[in-house]
Amino acid sequence: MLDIALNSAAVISLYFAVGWCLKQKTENDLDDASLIPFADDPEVARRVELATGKTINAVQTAEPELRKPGWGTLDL
Amino acid sequence: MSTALNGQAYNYKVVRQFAIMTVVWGVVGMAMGVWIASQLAWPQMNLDLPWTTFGRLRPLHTSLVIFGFAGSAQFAASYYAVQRTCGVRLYSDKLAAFTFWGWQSVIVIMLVTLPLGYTTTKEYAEIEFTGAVWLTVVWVAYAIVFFTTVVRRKSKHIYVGNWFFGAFILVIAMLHVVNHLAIPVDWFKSYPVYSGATDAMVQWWYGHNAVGFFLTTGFLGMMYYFVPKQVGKPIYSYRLSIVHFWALITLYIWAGPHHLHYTALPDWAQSLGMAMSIILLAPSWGGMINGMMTLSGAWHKLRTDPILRFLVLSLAFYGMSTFEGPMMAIKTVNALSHYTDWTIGHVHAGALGWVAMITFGALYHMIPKIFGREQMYSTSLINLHFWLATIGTVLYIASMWVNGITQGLMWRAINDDGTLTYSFVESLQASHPGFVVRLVGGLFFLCGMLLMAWNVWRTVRAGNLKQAELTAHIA
Repeated sequence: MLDIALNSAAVISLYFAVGWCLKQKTENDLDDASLIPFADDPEVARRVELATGKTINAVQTAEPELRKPGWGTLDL
Repeated sequence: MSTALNGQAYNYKVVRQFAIMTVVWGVVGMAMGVWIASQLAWPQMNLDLPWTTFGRLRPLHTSLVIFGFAGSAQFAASYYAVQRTCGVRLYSDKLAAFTFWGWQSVIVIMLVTLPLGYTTTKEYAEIEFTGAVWLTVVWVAYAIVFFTTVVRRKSKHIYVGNWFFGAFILVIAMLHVVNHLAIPVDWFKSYPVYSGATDAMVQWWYGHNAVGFFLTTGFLGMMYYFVPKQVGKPIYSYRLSIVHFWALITLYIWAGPHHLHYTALPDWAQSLGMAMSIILLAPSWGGMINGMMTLSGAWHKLRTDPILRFLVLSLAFYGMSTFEGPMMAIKTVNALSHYTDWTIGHVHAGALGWVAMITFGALYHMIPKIFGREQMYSTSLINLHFWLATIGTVLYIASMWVNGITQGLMWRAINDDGTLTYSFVESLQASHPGFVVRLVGGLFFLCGMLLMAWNVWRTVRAGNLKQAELTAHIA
């Protein structure tokens, strides 16, 4: 009986804990978070914006640091 | 999300290194698997040498594919995704390089010591004490690189994929350290601090969560990054992904006792493991459905995109094996399936169908980008790889299902007078056709892996690292 009560308590606690975490998030927050993988690639971001109608604050290309010459093309 | 520019490139070098070694260890580890499959069909393949017996090569096969192939894949994917989703370069190039060389040295230690017979005898944790300590040092360095990168992020949110990678890193550290607690007697021999049923419970708490966290949680992090990227759409429900994360990591850790049904483990612990395993079906399928539904409105892409096909099929196998697992954890089903080839089939449904296929999809997505190419050298070869891998996996798991049920039924069959109907050797003879089909399935899968190695090699040889660095800009 005790183990059933403990298991039930664990599941109920999980439900309320996740519910509490999600309560802090607005729809915009969740949208923003879900679009993170596209935010560093302007070309893909444009395509995703067209497909979803959501706005992604995509980045522009920056000049990268100069690399030192590697070991062949494998660069291992 | 910030749009500020700082002109600092991502660290792709360590990602390239891990990606290449994923392919290398994949070929070696799977070839080892094919070899030991042939030993089960034809014992002469043991070669009458102590170093090449099944007992020594089987742990080498599992160590190479789990730590070499799957481990390197997760290092590559997590380092790639964490930089791109946090908008910062990896923390410390030197420490990242240390994790690469350190991890490769761990695999080489396994490659040398296991055939020599140095082993803890604990499944998936065979590396002896000295190697295990070194692995811990490398893993702590990995945790420092990953979490410090997350802390320095430019984005407001921590993307859900990084939560999965983070849980994978933390829980594996805990499991590895607790299961390897031992008293060393010399450099290559130690004795565990646990004994009897406690030792077995700790081992299978580790063993099951090696599957749960090393072969699932990190790969779910991979899924949450690469499936949306390849589809070109955000994940179906971000809210569901958060529920998926907390439910999965809360439940997985309790399921280990189902490996010890009908043993000396207390009955209440066995029942707890069974109950938790069944509940685990819910978050597993929640994640699988979330990944699948990301393709809503984009299913047509499967016709032309073999990379997406790999990713989607991996989710299908994930769904299938996470249904099969809880069913096998039910004690009455386990009474039939335990110690039979059904278990081996189940493991490979997950290992080949889920872990390897999502790794192939992620690598085919990532490799052109990190080597400065538009796409892989040959899309046709990716397509061919897809079919070889699919046929190989189906042959493997179907033959093991047939073998497993045959063995389970033969072992429990009794005559009217209570004696066994079949001897063990008779069940082995009945299993022989299945062993041969399994070997053929493994050969199919290995051929696909070799095609991938060739495709990657041609892509890398023609790679333009300057172009890769140009695209490695930061948000």
